[in-house]
Amino acid sequence: MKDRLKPLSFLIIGCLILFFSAPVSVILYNFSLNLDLEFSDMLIAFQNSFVQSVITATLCIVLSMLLVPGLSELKNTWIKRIMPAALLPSLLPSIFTLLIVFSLFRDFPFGTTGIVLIFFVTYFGMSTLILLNAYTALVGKYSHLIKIYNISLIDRYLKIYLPELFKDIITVFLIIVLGCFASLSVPLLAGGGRGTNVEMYIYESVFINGNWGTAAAMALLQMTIIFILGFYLNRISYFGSGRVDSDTFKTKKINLSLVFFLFYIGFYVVGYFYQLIKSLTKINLSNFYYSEFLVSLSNSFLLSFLTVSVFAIILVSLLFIFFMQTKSYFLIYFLLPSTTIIGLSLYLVFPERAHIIIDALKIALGINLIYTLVLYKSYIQPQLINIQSQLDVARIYNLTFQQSLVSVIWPQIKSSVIITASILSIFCFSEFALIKAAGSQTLFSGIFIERLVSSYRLEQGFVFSFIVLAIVFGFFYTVRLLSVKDK
Amino acid sequence: MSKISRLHYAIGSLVIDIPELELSDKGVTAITGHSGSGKTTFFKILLGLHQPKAWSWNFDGVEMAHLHVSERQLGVVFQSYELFPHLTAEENIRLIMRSRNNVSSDALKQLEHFKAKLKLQKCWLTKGKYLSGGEQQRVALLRAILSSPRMILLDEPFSALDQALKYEAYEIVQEVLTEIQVPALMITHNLAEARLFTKHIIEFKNGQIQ
Repeated sequence: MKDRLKPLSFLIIGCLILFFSAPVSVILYNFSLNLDLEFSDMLIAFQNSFVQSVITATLCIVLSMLLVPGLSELKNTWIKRIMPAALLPSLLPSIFTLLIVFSLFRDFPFGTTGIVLIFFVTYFGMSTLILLNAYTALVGKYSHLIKIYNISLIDRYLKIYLPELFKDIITVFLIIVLGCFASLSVPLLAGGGRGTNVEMYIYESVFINGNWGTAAAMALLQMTIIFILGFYLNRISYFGSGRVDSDTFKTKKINLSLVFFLFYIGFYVVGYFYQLIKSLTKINLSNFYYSEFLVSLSNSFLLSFLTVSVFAIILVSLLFIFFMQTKSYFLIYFLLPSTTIIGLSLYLVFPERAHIIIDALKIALGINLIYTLVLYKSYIQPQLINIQSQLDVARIYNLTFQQSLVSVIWPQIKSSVIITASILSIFCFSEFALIKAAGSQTLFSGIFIERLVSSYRLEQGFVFSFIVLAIVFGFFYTVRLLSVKDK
Repeated sequence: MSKISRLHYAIGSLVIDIPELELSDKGVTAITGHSGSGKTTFFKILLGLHQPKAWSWNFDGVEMAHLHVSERQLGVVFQSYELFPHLTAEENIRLIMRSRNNVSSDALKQLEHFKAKLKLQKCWLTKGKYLSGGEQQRVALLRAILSSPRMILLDEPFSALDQALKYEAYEIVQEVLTEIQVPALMITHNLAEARLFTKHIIEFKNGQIQ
């Protein structure tokens, strides 16, 4: 029976490839490339993209590597619980980072400086945690030898740690560069001047200059760069050998590294809540845009429902492919798509003025195109790999895919799926760059908040963003509580 | 007798090369050998988890090599037992009985009989993740027995047990395998253990039969 289902798994892979490559196909199909480009503008855009992403990645890695040795010496158990909060800036939509950082400045340094600042805040936590994990594994592995042979500090770092960490450093560098290249939301709000970077250049070519051919050519060039970097990233992607149990090198309760890192986490988390409370005391409740907010919220609920529905279809397809053990490694090349390319392709396919359901479906498809594969790879695929042997048993004992999904897979991945669906929903309520690039006319809460931020009504921005967070977290926490049966 | 012919399979630096091998269709056959000799790879080939080309495994007139993993109608006890941790012992077994369509009244009587024989009454409603090593081993064995197998394959079934539990486990497993009259193939690196169960011992070395 399983052999008869194998062609179905290939068909599903084909459909997934078509789906994830559709944005590119749509743009290439609709427009002949205009190679009569404004090379000076184009060069500036690429230069800016390159400069912003490389400076961000370099800053993140250098500062992370300065903190990591100190962080690895800490033995407090509560620190392990706080550390994951450092991932919040990279997990949550960029609107939150934009709100927090904008509120710090009277005159925000729009342009490359501002963009680098936002990207740095977004990626520094992730970079530090990844490198800390790799470094701790190394130190654990060699700590006894280092003590026995009394290896000097310089030799330790130059001859042992840095060469062994080289692959991890390159991996983190590429992740940050690709993340910066593919982001539209940050340059949209924090950028300055025309053609700030490639994503903005493409966006402006369409929506300001009406120059689709140029946009298509730039999109193709951008995609090629992202694909090459992504290809290389997938080839070398390596995150050390996992944590080593030895705690003999952990001797301190507090040090300067911890203070700086807690400052970073505090800046984001405490900074957000501080600004929120400050905003609540400042805003005029009588002038609170209630009706627009409620309309945007209800539209976003619809968007969230459709997004999670599309995600469910894609997820079941991915689970089927995994169960059938069909090779699907090439899907990882769709991990880091450009927001602008996806938005523009949706703009081309769907009518500009459409019923709210069609508009919401358009954005739901876009959110899945951007986020589903990376969330699957980060949260769900590791769980599946852990239960690979159980799936072997299921196949040996002739369990069908449906039986395996209900009895074996779902009970063991449901937490990860709920987390993924929560993250997708947060994006549904906070996304604005994709919605703008897709030319959607519907007011979603992300657009509503973005309008407040871009017109510097930050207090209202904070309050509404918090309401959105509370709704999404509240809903999914309830779902999670209801779905947990065994304690 | 079941007969394996022309088995040639390379994985990494190991090459399984078995021109011909007969396995007994009664009792236990033991496969022994050092780590890395190819025992587990051979085990996975018989299960269908690896797919060599152009080999043959004739079992009672059925060409097993051409069958998909789910069609080979085998029972298995892995070294790490691989119970479904979120299901109780009972649910682990009944799930497999349903999937193998072994739900007749005779099958249910067999279930009760072996449940008692394997002393699983106390842990019957305990989830897999909370079972002890010995209990997991017995549940995995009962699951294999009630899957209506043409053959049971056991991969180092006692290696995860401590010494005190092992002797008790040997006795129970021997009794059960004798009673069910289904041929069994047991992988073990422990020659003494193999001799406890059978005189039919096949030694593997570097992917070949000695």
